[in-house]
Amino acid sequence: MIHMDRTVKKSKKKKGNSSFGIGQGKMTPFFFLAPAAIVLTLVVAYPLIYEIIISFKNVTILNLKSQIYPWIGLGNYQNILADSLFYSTLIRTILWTAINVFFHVAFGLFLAIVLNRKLPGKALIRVLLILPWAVPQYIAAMTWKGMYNVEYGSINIILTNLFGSAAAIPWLSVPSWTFLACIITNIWLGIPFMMMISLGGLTSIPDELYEAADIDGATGFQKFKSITLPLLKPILTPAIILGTVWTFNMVNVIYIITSGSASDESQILITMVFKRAFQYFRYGQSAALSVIIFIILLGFSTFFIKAQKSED
Amino acid sequence: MKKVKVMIAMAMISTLVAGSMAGCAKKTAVTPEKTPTTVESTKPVSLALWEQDDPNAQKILDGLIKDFTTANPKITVKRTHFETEDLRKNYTTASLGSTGPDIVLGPNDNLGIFVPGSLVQPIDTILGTEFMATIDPKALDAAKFSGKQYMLPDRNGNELLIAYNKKLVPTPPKTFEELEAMGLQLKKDKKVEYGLVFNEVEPFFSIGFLGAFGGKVFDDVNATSPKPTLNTPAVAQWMTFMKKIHTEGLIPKEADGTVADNLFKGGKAAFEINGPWGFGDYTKAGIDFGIMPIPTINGKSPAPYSAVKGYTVSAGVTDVDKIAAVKKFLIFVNSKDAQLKMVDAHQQTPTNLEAMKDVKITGNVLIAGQKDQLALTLPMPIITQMRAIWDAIKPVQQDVLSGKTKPEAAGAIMQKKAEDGIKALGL
Repeated sequence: MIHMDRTVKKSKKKKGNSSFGIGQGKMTPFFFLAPAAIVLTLVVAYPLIYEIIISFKNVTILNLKSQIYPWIGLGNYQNILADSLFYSTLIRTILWTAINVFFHVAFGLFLAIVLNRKLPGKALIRVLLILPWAVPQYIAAMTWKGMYNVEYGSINIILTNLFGSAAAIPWLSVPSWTFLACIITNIWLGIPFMMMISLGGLTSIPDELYEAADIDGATGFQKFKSITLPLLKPILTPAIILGTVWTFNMVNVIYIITSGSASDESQILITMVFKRAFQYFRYGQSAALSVIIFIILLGFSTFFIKAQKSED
Repeated sequence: MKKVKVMIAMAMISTLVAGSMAGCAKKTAVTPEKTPTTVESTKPVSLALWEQDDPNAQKILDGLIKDFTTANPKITVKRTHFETEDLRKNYTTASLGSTGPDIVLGPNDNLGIFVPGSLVQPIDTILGTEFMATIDPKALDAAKFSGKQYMLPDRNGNELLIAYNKKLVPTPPKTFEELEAMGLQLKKDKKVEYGLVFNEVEPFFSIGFLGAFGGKVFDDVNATSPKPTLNTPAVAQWMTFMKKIHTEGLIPKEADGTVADNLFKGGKAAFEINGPWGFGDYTKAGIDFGIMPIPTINGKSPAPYSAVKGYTVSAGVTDVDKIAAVKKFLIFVNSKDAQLKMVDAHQQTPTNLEAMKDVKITGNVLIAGQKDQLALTLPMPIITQMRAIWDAIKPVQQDVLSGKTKPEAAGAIMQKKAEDGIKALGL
């Protein structure tokens, strides 16, 4: 150990001679971190703190421009938590996130495993599978909306051709179907991300492990359970957290497919924030709702990471 | 030596920091603009214009801007397009800083948000009485908010009417009952897929029918705190009527604006309830169409909303040079010739008194034909509370059409939603 330290010191000295001394001081790492830290403070910490502050204030269209906002303490939070709509929307949001992320991971992982094998026309298939990612979300959601029309949408045309006219589903006019339509669209949109992440992880697993398992006579499922999944975990954990946060906060798909999220029965928390902030101009209240969402997501991420670590 | 090196490192880092903060310097850049200078200054001025017009109007507007900037080389005008809701949302937030536009072109219901939010300033004081006298006083009235002139209207109408396919409908119906029978017969004969189409998602397209049943959405629009009046027999009748034409198959099972337009433009629907902004696309699609007011239901005329559209000036425009440039630009785009050019796109009555008398307007069947409908319209309420009304009607109308809510129960649900919405607006 002592020997190693000496080598490090020696090499530091050598490098130091040609690096204008920035590699020498105790503060050096902080200098290198400073630009990133400052940028992060400006673009992340400042808006976050500002949001928390205005969540305790009454900010509406009437006093927005004046920038004089009366302090109302927990008033905004009390309003939200006393509203039954918040709880029903919260449950819907959790359902929305869980279903979406589950299918993103399941389909993404499955397709990644398929793509990781020898396949004819693999490059083309990969491009086709990544396509949903390349299409702007707005355009994708608009296209799906067109496909959901009860009479002229391609989905119902297929359904009615296969199962008769009674099989037409009122995707866009019954809120519960609309919600399902949003889920299908979002699953389609989210698969490529999980697929690419999983594929990256899969290629980094050494073939020797599978060869050894083959020699031991392991089945395909055993190999997946004991080699693939555990070795993908360090990559999948952050991807699932990211996926959860993105899905929890997905405005575009819901807003477009529900034509402005007018019905309370097909909205999620983030569309509620959007409506309150930009259609009802209750900035303070929507800031409080955003803080609640932040706490929920922070709690989930912390819990998820801890659970993963304890499993290890 | 070491100190020098540390200093170099510090200098490099501060350069980086300064670089990363470069974008934040905009606010300070406003200060010099605020320094008053003479009106006839040759200082270059840049104006930002936001609009929510359709693509045809955008093209004509670009042409006008080009003509204007050629004549006034010191002034540049940057046009940015937004959809109606996005414009409102972005303008409200942008006007907090210095990134907002100087001029907004949009419908008069924007005033319900812009004026209470102190985001715009009176426009007549900028343009002067001499110019204001060249504009139609009726249109000017519709562009006032709490008695003050905040908007310079450039078109009058925005009303809904019926466009019919002349090939399918040789003689237009006189009553809605006739229209209904005609539409259903054409459908039966397999000549159309639906008799009548319109945007069934946005209540703006169906609210005209409420007028035929004697209903209105507020007790008194001019009151300090107007109350919604949606839990009424008129609303129940309106919803029953909507459900009836939906169930009998006169209108599509589901249709937003795109579906409705495509059916009519494809010759698959005989009638469409739409505004004059749709005429250009009908002509492009090669449809030979005529226009008429939405006909009477049980002898009573529906009352679709009418509105004006026009220019507002941001409260942030205080610099003398900028005000002078805004004045020049607005007078230019609202001159007789400029307004007549814009008519090609929006197909509505202009507001410049000279332009209104022009043969291009008086001899235009599509504009002259709107007069009958315009006479039957109601001015759209532009108070802030209207947001809550739209949001209350939209989901309930959808639930009535899908069969989830009974028409007679709709009014009470709408009323509750509207009252909650007004509360949510903080009014």
